[in-house]
Amino acid sequence: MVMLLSILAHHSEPADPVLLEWIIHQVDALLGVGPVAMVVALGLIIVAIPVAVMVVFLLQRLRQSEE
Amino acid sequence: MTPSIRRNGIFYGWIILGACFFTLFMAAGARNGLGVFVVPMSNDLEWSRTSFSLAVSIGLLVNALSQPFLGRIFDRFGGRAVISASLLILGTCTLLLNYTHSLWYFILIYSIVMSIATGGASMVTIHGLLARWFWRKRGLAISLGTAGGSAGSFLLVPFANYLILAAGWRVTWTALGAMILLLALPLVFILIKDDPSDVGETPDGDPEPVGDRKSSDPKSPLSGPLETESWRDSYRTSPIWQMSGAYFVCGMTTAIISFHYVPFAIDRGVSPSSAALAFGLMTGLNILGVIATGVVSDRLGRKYLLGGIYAVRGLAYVMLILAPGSIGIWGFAIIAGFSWVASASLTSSLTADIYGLRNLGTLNGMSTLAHQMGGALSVFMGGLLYDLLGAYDVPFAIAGATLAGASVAAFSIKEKKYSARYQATEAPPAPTPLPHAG
Repeated sequence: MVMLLSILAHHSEPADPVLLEWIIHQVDALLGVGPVAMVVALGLIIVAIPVAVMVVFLLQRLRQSEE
Repeated sequence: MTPSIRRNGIFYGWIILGACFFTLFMAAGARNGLGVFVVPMSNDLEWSRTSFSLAVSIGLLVNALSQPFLGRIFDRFGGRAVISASLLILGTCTLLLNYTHSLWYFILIYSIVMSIATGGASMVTIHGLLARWFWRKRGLAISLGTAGGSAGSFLLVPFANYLILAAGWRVTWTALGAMILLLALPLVFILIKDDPSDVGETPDGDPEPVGDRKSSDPKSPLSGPLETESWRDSYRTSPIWQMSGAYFVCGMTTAIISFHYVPFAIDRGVSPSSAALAFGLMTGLNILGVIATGVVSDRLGRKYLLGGIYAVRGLAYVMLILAPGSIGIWGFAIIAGFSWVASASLTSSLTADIYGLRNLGTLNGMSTLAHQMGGALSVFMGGLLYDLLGAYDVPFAIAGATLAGASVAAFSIKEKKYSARYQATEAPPAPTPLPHAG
């Protein structure tokens, strides 16, 4: 039944927990940083996406208002 | 009509694309992240893996069945309303998972409510919205938007995993819910417009005015040659059956691998870590594959790429079955990885080209339903035949063989006859009254 959880992300299905655990171990071995540091690093990358989109939008608006 | 916000800046459709990318990023990432909650939640709540699997199975079924209905709602009310409402529900439900204490609570929140909400912020609605904003670059835009889902799995799932390690699973559900509500929802609500004409734009930002017509207007130049008033009438024509049939096979051939690839590799003598790495490589390659096919599909016929993708995936299956040990495993991962999600964006783009925008959400939802049904069937078949025969060769061979049919079905779509892209290219210029000589 574990197999039911191991669906590759194709149409919004859960990712394979075994694979994810293995990836985490590999990243830990490679970088040697703790979970908190990884949360902060990944969190910053994630937050940067909407911020970047919003900045582009606001720059557009600003340019529009200047014209 | 409101005045255009674009004068010298970029086309507003790219901002829409950014919002769509992040919507799929969060929606798919949060949902796919369930995998990392399995062990901590099972240990904490003393649930068996069977209980978790039951919740996941119900969620998949609910998600698949809800897609056509959400697509219909999208066609009636537009992308902004449907995606915003879906993100609101999705974010709230993700927050509520923090309070999970019983399996039935989890099934109600995750498997039922959240699964429906995910369908409203999925490829079905995102593709439908992007198809309204892009015409010449439709393939590229839809592919880039689709890549958001893959990127979400790539970044958000490890993020959730590390947060669980740092703060526990309850805090992690809260954080994911808060990110949906505070980052994705405002982005969609503020930025997304249903139609280019809402901001005085034209699809692709072309200078030629389309007038005040909405892109979904049946008289718009963007309407499909086979566009019908009722979505049901679309099923009286062959292309939708060809695309849906091929997409059914797409579901079959992706789901069976997702469930059985690593066990198959271990059976072949490949180490579990190598098998998992190959599987991970396949996941990463799908981001490149979907973007590359999007770029190319706007220049070439989409049916050739779609047929080619199914054919290549079929070859990957042949390699998986016939090539010895790790060669087959790695060869399959590399070849099939490029085709993994590209079929989704190509199918949506081609559906929009042929059937227009009026019922696109419903048609995308129906195609996705077919895809998920194919997936469910193949997973069941794979497990059943493995139990009967003790090997995966036969179920994989059956799945691979169906790809030949999918490829033929895609190649045989009469794209030049039915696609708006070719109609527009080959159509004579609008008749202009000319003064008679003499």
